[in-house]
Amino acid sequence: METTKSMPTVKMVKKIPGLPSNIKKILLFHAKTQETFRLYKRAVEQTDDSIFITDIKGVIEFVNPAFERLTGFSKNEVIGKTPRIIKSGRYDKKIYQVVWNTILSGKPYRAVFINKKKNGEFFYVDHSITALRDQKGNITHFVAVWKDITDRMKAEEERRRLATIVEFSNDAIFSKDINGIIESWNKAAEKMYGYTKTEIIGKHVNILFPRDRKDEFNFIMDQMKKGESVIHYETLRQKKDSILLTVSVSISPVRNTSGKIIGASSIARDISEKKHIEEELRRSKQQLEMILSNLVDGITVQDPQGGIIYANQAAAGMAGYNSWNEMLQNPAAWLDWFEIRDEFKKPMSLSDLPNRKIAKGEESSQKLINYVNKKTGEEKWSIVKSRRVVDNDNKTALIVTIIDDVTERIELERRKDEFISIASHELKTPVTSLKVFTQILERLFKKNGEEKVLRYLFRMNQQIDVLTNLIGDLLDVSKIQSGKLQLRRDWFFLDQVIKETVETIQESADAHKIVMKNIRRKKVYGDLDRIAQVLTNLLTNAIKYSPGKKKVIVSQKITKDKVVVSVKDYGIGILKSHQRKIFERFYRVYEDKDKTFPGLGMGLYISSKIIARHSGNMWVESTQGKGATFYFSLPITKKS
Amino acid sequence: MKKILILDDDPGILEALRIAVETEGYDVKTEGEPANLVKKVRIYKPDIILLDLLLSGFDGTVIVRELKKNKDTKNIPVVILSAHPTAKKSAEEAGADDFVAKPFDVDTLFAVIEKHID
Repeated sequence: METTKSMPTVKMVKKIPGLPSNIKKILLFHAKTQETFRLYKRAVEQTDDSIFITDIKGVIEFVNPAFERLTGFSKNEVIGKTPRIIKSGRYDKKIYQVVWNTILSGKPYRAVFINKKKNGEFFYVDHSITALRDQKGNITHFVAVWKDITDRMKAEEERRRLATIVEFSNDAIFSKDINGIIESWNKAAEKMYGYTKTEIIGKHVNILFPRDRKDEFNFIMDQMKKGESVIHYETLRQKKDSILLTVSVSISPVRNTSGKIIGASSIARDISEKKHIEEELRRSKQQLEMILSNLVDGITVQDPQGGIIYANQAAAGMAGYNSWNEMLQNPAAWLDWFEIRDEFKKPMSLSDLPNRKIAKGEESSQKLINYVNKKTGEEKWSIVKSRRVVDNDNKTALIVTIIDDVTERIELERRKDEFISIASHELKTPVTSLKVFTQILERLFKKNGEEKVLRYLFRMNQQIDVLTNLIGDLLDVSKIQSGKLQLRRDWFFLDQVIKETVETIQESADAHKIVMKNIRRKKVYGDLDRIAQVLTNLLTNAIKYSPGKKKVIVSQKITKDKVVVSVKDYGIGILKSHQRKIFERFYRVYEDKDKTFPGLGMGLYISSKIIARHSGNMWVESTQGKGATFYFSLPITKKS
Repeated sequence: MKKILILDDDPGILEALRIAVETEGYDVKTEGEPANLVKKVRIYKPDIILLDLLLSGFDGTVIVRELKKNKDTKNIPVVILSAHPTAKKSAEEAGADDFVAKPFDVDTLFAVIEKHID
């Protein structure tokens, strides 16, 4: 139905002069019809709603420009096709069936539909389809009118989404109007305060304020009116059951679309748990602080780079500071105040300090440190132990160090060692004079031939020797204990030592005969005097513990990697249960009768330690009543 | 008669040794103090010197070194007597001619004296 510009308008017709009235009537009718048609046409073409017309089968015959704009399809692309072209794919066939059935029955169909544009975008329309009838009443066409409500729908979706977020948030969220009347209330608020939505909407918000905080409301509202928010405000609120809650609230003004403040929204979080935990934490920290500050040991905590995080009072004091704060301010100062030395009192590199070793990657480290206060000259000893603390990724998170002041202990040890050293020296001095005088007497009486006197003097000399040995043993024991037994190692002939020692002991052993068996020339590396001491001890014991027996046998056996010397006696023997213990310090064998054997019980201890220092072994084989054989082995070293 | 100089800080030992050595037929001079010993040695001119290393806090090796440095005294044999076990090494290092550990047998001492006195 095209219009041509040549068709006259009603105005024009009215202006034509001399028109016969019947022609004028016809022309006017046409012109009016044309104008009305033109109006309808303009309406359809210029409306913002999409309009399309289909035939009875649904094939599109006409679409208006709004349709083209909305769907992205040009009229040539859609004319001759069905609306399937804009199907979104979101609806079941059944829906379309319902649509058809409705419109075919002559009723208009109205609904909100989602369709798809040419570029794939989805859009919402408020859709109405009506059947067009001819004069006979038969349906000839369908006309569909769409109102694009995409924006509205999107806004609606957004609103719904936000509402869900608010409703199901873990924080209590509610809003009130400018006068404080509660307008909305989410699930969390119901849970926190105990009021249901229906109970509280419409009530004033100060129902939630404890009695002594009612004026908080005024303060909050003043802030709102100024357009300012109140953020993370810690306060008390009251539940429905009157129980008080510690909460943190954030309140913001709510504005309408014109920007006017119409109310406020509140978010509240119950922080009673948090506050409780904070209090617990504070109390634990205080307790820990108390414990740490009263500890005698110094404790320091450093970060992996060595920066000091914490030091207790004891640590600060040891380092020469008056307080932990002073230490924190100047953590490296103590290095200038002290000279740091190792356990031998030799200057020590700071990188050997245990905490520095942990910083370099070690798991744990310990060192005995000697340090001297440069100003006062005071010398102290400490055992410093450092360990690392790891985080979840097994990386060093902290370096923890414990400093144990052992000054008193060390000095006591040193005084003890010194004492024993001095004591043995002091004891030997009068013994020396005693011995000399005894021997002078011996010489004098030898000239006169006084047998009895000589015999007694000989006994005195023997006892002085016993005393000398006891003093020597005491000193040896103390040296062994403090790890200071020094060996003078060299190559020597073991067989020679054996022979000489046997000779010496035999001199004073009247009742026994010491027999040597299988003694072959053998060079060994060690302390000659100490090995002789061991052999002397074994021979002396053999004689002592076999009174009335006549023989003691010394033999030697050489294997591939060691030489074994044995001393055998036929005396009282040793019970199996004693056999290991006899090598212990001060262990003495007691008999049932009141027979005790003289001696301090140190000989075997010292001998076993000497042999051990030579990397050898010492052991015994014995049957009680039948005697004992003591063995010691020395390794044969391949040194030439 | 051969002369022996004995230096020890213990009067008991000095007395015992003096009697022992005199009985054996030597001339003896005993000293209890380390002070001016080199001077005294130059004056007395002993044939052998017996001395203890630890003389009441004074280190005897100092004297030994002095004696061995001085041209008048360096040829006099010096025998160290000591109760201290590590003294033997110090004695050797200081230049002493021999060492006898205390307490000793008088016979042992005389053997050592006779060994060095010529």
